[in-house]
Amino acid sequence: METSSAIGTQPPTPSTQYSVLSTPYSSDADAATPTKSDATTTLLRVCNLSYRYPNGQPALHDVTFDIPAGESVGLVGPNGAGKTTLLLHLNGLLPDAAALPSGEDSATAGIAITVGGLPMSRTHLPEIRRQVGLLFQDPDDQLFCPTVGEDVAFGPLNLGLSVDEVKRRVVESLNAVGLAGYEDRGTQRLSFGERRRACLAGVLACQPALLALDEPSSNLDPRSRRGFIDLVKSLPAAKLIASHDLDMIVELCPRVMVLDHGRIQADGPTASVLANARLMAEHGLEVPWRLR
Amino acid sequence: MSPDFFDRFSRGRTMCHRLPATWKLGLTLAVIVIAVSLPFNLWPIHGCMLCLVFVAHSLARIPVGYLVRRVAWLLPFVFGLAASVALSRPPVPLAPAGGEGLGVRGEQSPTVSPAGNTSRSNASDKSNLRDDHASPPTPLPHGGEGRRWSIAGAIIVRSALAFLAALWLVHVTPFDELLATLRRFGVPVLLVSLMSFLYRYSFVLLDELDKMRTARRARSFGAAGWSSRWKTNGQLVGSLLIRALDRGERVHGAMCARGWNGEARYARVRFDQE
Amino acid sequence: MHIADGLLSPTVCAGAGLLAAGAVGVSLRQLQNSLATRTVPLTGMLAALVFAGQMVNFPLFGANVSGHLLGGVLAAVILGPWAGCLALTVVLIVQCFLFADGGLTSLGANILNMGVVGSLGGYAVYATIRRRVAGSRGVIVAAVIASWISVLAAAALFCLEFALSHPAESFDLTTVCLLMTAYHSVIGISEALITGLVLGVVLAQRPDLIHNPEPGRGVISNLGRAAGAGVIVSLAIAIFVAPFKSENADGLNAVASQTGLEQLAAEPRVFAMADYSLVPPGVDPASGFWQKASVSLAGVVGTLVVFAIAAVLSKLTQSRTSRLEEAHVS
Repeated sequence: METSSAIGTQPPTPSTQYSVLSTPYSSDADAATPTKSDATTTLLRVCNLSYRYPNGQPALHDVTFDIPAGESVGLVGPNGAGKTTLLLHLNGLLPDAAALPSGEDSATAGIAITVGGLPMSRTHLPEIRRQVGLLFQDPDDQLFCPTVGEDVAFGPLNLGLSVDEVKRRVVESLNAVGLAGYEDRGTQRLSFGERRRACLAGVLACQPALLALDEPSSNLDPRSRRGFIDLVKSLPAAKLIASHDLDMIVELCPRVMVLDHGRIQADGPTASVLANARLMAEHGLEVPWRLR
Repeated sequence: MSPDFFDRFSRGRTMCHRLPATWKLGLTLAVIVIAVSLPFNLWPIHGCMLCLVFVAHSLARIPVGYLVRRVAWLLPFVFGLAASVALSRPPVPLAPAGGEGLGVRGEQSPTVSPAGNTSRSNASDKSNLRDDHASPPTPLPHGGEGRRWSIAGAIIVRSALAFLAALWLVHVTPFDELLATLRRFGVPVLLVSLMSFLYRYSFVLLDELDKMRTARRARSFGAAGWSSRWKTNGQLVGSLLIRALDRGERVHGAMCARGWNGEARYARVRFDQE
Repeated sequence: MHIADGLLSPTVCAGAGLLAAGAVGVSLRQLQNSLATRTVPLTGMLAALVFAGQMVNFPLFGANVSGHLLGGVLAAVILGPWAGCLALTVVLIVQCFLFADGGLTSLGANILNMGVVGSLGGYAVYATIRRRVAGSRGVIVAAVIASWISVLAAAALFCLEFALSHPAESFDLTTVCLLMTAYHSVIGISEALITGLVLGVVLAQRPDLIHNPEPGRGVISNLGRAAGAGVIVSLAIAIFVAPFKSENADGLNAVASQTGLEQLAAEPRVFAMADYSLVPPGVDPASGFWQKASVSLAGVVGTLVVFAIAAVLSKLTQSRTSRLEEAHVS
């Protein structure tokens, strides 16, 4: 994977690109089965990540895991476990930019997070942010432009793409999430489900390699939830899905990690981890209906 | 908060809506500038312009009742000023003799500002000072108390005319188009971005305000006194402020997550010309 | 408080617009130069908050009449003077273009009165007072007093603008001054009270949100701040003293004629002189004095009320924050 020092000087290289219109998953099984992913292309590597909140309270302890390209991984845990904090680290939003190493020198051994071969540092931050698409829990935090089209165009415009390319990506992304023709719709006129889809379109328009989704099915009615699950299933990017919706995790993710008190307590195939009643009870969860 | 709260009519399909936004802004500005620049004695022109503005409103299918209500909100402040003009006596020019040289017949009339705010329900206090020492001034050619009343009336007509013209512009142009037009007219990009933010998040904040109010109503069991209402409303606004700033931090995170580097940019990519 | 179209002459509107544009330009530059990128979304959010907060009713006399937050000093206290000024400016522009609240041509005057004087000027007063009174008490006391003073200063500025708009020997400006003074005194007190209440809540829960005034980067900036505060305070006092200075209105006319402004006024001699003999019989000639005195008295009383509000609110906030600190420690 190449490093790029400035956003907008060149479009993403083919090796990191994926097309939104590629074929969806053809998995028909109710529960996702672990697939033999290509272990040589590690997309995300987190190594001994620790973090304390500004008030001194510990948040993450020695978190270590890898995510290969194309794999879907669930992240479950009780409230306050640190799931959102972990996701914010992947995109470089935490810690504050000043605390990040500059990355100029080659001393990258101490850096905890590597995305697509790039260590998390101020130099590589723009490219990492392009590669990791973060979907926030509250769509109103993420939809900050008055119209849907403008909002989806925000990311590509920041990448320095031409207006035609931006338009193309906006239309493509909106089609992919089922909001075709919504370009001129005011964001305040959308329903909650539509807003969440519009946020996802905005993230997809940057063509990330890893989608980090924070509680994507929360507050959705059953129909919207089903539509959203099917949508996420159809995306070929690697996914890290933090959620309390354990049934959705069973459906979407062959692998799951349990996070509690800032530590990874378990990491393995979903069917066995989530079916472990004792483990679930210990960490404030329960065995999902599908696995009972 | 209904998403139509601000934009009730601006997404229509009449010919007024289809005009380019630049023309509409230019036309409205021209009408307003002419209206406020014309001398008062050319009131027939004001009358014609008022009729034209009403025609424009009906072309844009904006209901008359709505217009009347909006004008009724505006007028009290203007009425107050106009009344103070009409009922005041003209000042005596600088007189060589000492003492108060001013004849004052003031009235503290009830006023309500355009945003529907405060009003003073004073009994009007008509008092008059007659200065016996100053020599009476020479009256000027255009005299008469009727003249002052007609000036006061003209102030009201002018303000109403300008207001209705601006209202027409507001209701035939979607706000995001208006922002793009302002940007084209050279308004700084940071200002336009801030306006865009304001527009977007006022709905969110007003919704939160509604929810907090409803929650408060659900827990109040009778008519609250004056001081308790002030206190709770102050708490409402204070909580809303804290929530708004927290949300601002999260929005900042979302912007950075999609590659924003701090440079204010407002680029309007049009999608309707594919 | 929003000035509609047609009340001020085009020249005054243009002049006020230029001044406002200058101040807003400076604020924009300061915001762009600030290192923290979060200032932009936070300012936008604060503007939305002021916009929404202006719609909350604070009942005054009975059910139909209510006071509202203006938000100039509040915005400046939370995010600093430049962001506060920009937030108010944006609110005023959007209100003009969304609601036609405040005229298009008088937008410059509105921004000058409420954004520049209200927010920047109010901040100058706030910062000056805050240097004298420390802690959360200082924030409340300074903000309450600054709100009161900035509203009055804005009113005085409007009277000045109105006077300059109609400089020819027209109607009696003292009446307008009296009206504005009375009206804005009530607004000023309610603004002071609302600002104090809101800041009390913020201080109790999130004192970190209050912007810290930079501790004097130099004598010049401190002097500048104090000078700005002085100008605002003078404006505010002027509006109460004006009724007594009967030649004040004529003084403005004299200034206008000396500087040739009245040649620029679009309607010279349109406002006619009336017949002076229209004096109702049996009116006490001395009552005019008491009328004017009552306005100035109202000013004194209003100021005392505001100081009392500042004292009470700051005491309440201090006791609340100290209780919270004890709870946190224990």
